[in-house]
Amino acid sequence: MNITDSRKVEQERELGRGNKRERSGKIVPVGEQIGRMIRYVVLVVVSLAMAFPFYWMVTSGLKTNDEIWRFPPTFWPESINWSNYADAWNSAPFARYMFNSIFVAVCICVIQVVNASMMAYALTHMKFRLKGPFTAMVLLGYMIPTTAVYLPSYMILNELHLLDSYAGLIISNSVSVFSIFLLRQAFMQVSHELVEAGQLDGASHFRILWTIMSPLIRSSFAVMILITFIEQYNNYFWPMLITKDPDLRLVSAGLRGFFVEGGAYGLAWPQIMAASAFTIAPLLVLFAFAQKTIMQSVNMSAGVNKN
Amino acid sequence: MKQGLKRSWKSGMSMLLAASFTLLAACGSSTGETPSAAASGTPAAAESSKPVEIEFWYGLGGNLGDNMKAKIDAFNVSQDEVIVKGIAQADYTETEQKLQAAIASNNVPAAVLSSNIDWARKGYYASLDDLIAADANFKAEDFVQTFLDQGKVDGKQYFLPMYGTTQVMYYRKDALEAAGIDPASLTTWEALADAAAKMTKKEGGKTTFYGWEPMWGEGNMIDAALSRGGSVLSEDGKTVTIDSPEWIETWEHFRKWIHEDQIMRIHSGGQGWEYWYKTIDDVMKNKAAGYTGSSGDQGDLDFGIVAAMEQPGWEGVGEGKPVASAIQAGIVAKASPEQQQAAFKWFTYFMQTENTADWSMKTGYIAVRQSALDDPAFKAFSEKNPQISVPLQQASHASVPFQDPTGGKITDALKVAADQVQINNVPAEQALKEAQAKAQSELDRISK
Repeated sequence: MNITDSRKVEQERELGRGNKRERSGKIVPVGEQIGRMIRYVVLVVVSLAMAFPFYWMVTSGLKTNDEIWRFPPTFWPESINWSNYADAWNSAPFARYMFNSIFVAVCICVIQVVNASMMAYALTHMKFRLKGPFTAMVLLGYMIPTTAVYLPSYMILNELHLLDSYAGLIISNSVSVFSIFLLRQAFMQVSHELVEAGQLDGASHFRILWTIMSPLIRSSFAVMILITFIEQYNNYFWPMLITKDPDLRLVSAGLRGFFVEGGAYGLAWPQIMAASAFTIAPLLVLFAFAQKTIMQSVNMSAGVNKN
Repeated sequence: MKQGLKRSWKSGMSMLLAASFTLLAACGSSTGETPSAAASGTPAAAESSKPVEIEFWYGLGGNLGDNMKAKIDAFNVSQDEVIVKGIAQADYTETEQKLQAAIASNNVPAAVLSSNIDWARKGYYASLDDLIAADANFKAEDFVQTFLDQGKVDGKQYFLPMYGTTQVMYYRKDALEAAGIDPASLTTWEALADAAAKMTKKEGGKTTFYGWEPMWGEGNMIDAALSRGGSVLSEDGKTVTIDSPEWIETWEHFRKWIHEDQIMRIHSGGQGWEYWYKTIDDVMKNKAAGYTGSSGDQGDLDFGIVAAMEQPGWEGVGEGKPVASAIQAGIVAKASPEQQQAAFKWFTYFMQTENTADWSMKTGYIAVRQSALDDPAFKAFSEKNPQISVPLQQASHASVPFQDPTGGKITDALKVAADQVQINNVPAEQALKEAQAKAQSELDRISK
């Protein structure tokens, strides 16, 4: 299939979608209407159930401690205590934690985009000896549980004097077999003729990768970046293990520390809820903007699902 | 291609690492022999003019964390030979996790607020006997003996007690007064149960005010069984004796109080320490007359409302013998001799009479020396706050915490049995017999 072919298919698909939309404008039989209504009701219930914990977290952050413990629970805070959020924010350096998490996650994303795409390109569109076994070996690396390599990885970081530093946090996470495989799947969809065409025109592998391939699999990149970012932002145990300077804490370790110190082991629930709410705020914002891509990612990463 | 090679190196490495993981774990135990031997020649080491800098890892937060920071600063100012750099973790578990990685990579802190008998046996911790022998000011006889004994592994001192904890009773002064009960008379569990029954208020068959709230978990039921003369293991250490009459009678009492008489209540489950604070909350909010809690709770309580007393004993048996356990610190064997020396200096500073007394006053934990009772500041403090000396007095006739030879399997069995009795209303005899069978088979497995 060449480019014009694929475009045609794409156009047909567009048309098909248009047709469907047209049909939905027509009068629908009663039976189907009821069926649709039931479907919507079910969907509404399910989505409310999904959203409820978030709602509960945010509103609990506005309640008083007594109100949180009250039974039956109140669904809307009696009095809005924004001060809980301010208290929580001020009682631990959350700005620092969030900066750390975002900074580290962004760096990791950038590095992974570069190295994972190069790797994926090599695995799909380059010919070299032992390519098959090599691919299998990478895949095998994917089967090893991360927890099993904590200790050896720690020792290597120690030898490299990278413990307790941003560099260590970033470098130790800068290769992800998951990302490689996600991109590999995407590269496999691109026809090899494109690469050959580029080679005929004298383009280097590097050029082919960045000017021909990358634009074609933009959405896979977006998915990879989003997944990596969310994963790194939430990362807890490994960053906790390799850092000891409180200034290097990521947001999850910071939140845990706050739970113990500021939250007095769960005595001050409003503050804990408030802190939890604003630490996941960046992810919610990200979701709001990248909703479509994240939805797509569910589809795309299905073949290479994590864990 | 170049990139390909790089990648192959990385992924190949991850495989190699995984393979070496099991190997490493095995190596861990064998390397253990050497460092402790290297450590023993320390005391004679000459002091250099430059101060020795050591790291001290501790998993404390909040009030305790702040007090620890203050103590470290005070130590650093008090002398110019050692500089302690405190590094805080979220809790004791995190300290141990990080220490494990640190030991594996040979990049260790000298001093840690953590103790592990297995690790001491494997040589990860340095034996302190030589350091203690070289220190003329180390008065072993002044320490609370149960605390010091806990740090001994196979006869050698590996850990030093930093502070202690024990479970004591906190009661509402107004509730006892209203019922006309003298707290001094509550020296047996029988008397306490009578008082609890008297103070309990019920409405329509439902209890609205509980006479007492034991803390969830096996801890204080073990305390009560020990007070009655029970023991976890037989003297030769070969039989698990948690199904003896002492245990069954004790635990059956608790089951009856909780489920049949409904004069006591257990808060269980929840997130982290939720059950603990719910229990405290009940007492502070006048929903229960008192509870069994930790000596460390004193920082959270309002002693205008509550007061503390020792755990009761049993009628005809004698005074209570609850467990008092020390939070211990150790010196990591892989630290250099100078660092070990420095760490020992820091520990002895922390354990000085005035410091351990000060720590006790600020945190509610137990001072580790008997002489703390004579410390002028402590004396003055305990006149105004009588609760502070209750745990220390209880510690003087306390039991040593059970050190599980199976690495936690016996304790687990007890924990399950406690849940059965406290939550599921299973007769104590059945729960403890089951626990004994399980614990015994675990014990047999290791003694073979």
